[in-house]
Amino acid sequence: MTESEIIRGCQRGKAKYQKELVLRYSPQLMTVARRYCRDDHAARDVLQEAFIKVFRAIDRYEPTGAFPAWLRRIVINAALQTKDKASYQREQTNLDAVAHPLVAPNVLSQMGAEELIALIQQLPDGFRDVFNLYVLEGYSHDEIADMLGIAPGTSRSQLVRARQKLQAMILQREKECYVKRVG
Amino acid sequence: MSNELDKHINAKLGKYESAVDAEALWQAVRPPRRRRPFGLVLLLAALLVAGAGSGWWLRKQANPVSASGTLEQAVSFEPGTDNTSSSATQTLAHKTSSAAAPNSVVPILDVPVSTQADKAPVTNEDKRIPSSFSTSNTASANSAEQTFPAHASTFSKEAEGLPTTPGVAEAAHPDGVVSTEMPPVIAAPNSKLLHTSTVTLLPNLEFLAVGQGVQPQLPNLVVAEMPSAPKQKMSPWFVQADAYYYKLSRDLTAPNDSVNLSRWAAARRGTETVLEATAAEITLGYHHKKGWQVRAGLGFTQLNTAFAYTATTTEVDSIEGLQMLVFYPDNSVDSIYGSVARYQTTTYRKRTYNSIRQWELPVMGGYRFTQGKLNVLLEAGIRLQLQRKLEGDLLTPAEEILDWSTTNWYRTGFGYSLQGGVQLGYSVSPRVSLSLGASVRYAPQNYTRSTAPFAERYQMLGAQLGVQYRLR
Repeated sequence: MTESEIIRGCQRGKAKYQKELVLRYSPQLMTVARRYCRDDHAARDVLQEAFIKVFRAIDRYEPTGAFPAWLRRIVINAALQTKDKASYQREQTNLDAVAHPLVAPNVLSQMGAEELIALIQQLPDGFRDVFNLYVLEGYSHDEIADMLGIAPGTSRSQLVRARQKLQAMILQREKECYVKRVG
Repeated sequence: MSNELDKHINAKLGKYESAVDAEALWQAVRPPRRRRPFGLVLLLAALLVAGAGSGWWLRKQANPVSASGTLEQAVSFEPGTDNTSSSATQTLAHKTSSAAAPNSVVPILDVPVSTQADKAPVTNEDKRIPSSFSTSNTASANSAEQTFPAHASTFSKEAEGLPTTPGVAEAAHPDGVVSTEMPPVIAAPNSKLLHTSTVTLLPNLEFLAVGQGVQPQLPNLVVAEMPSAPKQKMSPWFVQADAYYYKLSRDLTAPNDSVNLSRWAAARRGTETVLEATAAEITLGYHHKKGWQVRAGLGFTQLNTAFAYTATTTEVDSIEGLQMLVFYPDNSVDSIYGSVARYQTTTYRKRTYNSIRQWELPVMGGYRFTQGKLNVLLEAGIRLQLQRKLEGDLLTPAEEILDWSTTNWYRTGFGYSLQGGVQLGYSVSPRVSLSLGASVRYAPQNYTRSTAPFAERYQMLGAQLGVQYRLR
């Protein structure tokens, strides 16, 4: 079943194609949802909500861009809608305490996707969203500012803080692993 | 380093696929089947076609003769009989006509119609049916009533020989004109019937008898102007009482894109069972003789669902109690008391029947095909909702039980729904008929307001039982 067949089938409301869409794209989209949520439970809720929106909006889908990107955008929107916009501003005020550690490249290469997702999920909401939108989705700070309702400068500073926080968490994790290995 | 971090995360997560129970996800997000008003329309159309077919069949059964209503009637005169005697007969389709037969009274058009002898004498050689006939229900020929029987589809008149009773027919009623353009002339004695002609009954009844050797001069009887039967007067107005039993179909959707959709729907679907709807109505209607009818009145509908909720909660209390027993080697035991946990499990069950009750004003129009005691009614119309009340409970996504009546989520005022159906009726008496049929109701409007966290709507398909009484 091709992608265009799935799209046409979903537009006609055929359950067979809708199911195929869910089965085919849910693993990728689950990764997206997990990156934007604190835990997997919340990610499942977001993914569920996103698919409901997909089935409602697919009549209006125009194949001008990649279909997976369109799906990913819906998941991101669904995830962002669950957030409290004010939290982005609040989180900005508590950044000074974050240190500026450095992570060795070999440490990074040893980390798997699940570990990275777990670390990203530990970021505060504002940091996490800005980091995801900038680093993984490729949005500019102006676009992120529009999406989150914050100033572009806030987006920039939150990205920096998010990176620093991630590095700190990676170092902390490496330190714990070393202690375990040494005994 | 930031670039390294970004690149690494991008590389690792860019196309990473997380483990997810896609089947469970599909079950959770599976869209409800699209509402198919088209299906209801198809059903209604099928009912209409079935009803129309039945009506056509009934009508066909009722009118085996051509629609023009022309009946060919035979008129025969046999010589040697008195054509004014009781042996003279006419037959019409279930009707009777008159003849100048003294001392006999036979119904005409289901009622006796007779003639009075005209002033013109009837002789043995030349018997004439008078130029005008009475429209009264009594007749006489030479002060004697004369009638003759009638039978379906044939109109025969026998004149066995010459009249034995000279009769003179005359109009007993000045308005009762029966045209006699060709007064019947009976041949002389022993005249032989040569020809039996056909006459056309509708709109005018004519008969023509031709005797041998005589100038055929028989009257044209204009039945349209003959007296009609005094039928029992039936009012076009009627009162009808109906009861309905419907199978309910509920649509639960979200009015807008909301996270609450699946939670509300899941909570309600898990605790509510859609049952049935019952309805009753009484209407006053007008039935046109051509088959059309309208009726309106007051109706009541109740939609039922069953609510059942079971919750088990476990509470942990801290109470003073024995925490530990310490056994020493010398067999002594120390009891250590302190706060210990006490688990208390509570099971909460609630079962109730929810109902939506509404008063309505049904306005229905339709067409009734009738044959004999059977009839088929095709009907469609609108039900204007006057008031709606709700009673019952529902479960919120937070697993709290909410009383319907305390919410402001449902439309309780004016609304409408569409109704259609087909009914098969049977007349148990001239005024009373019973009916049994199928009925479908379609609600274009949601039962809920736009402010509700869900949109709820009910469709109905069921059976109808009714009784109709024609007013006097």
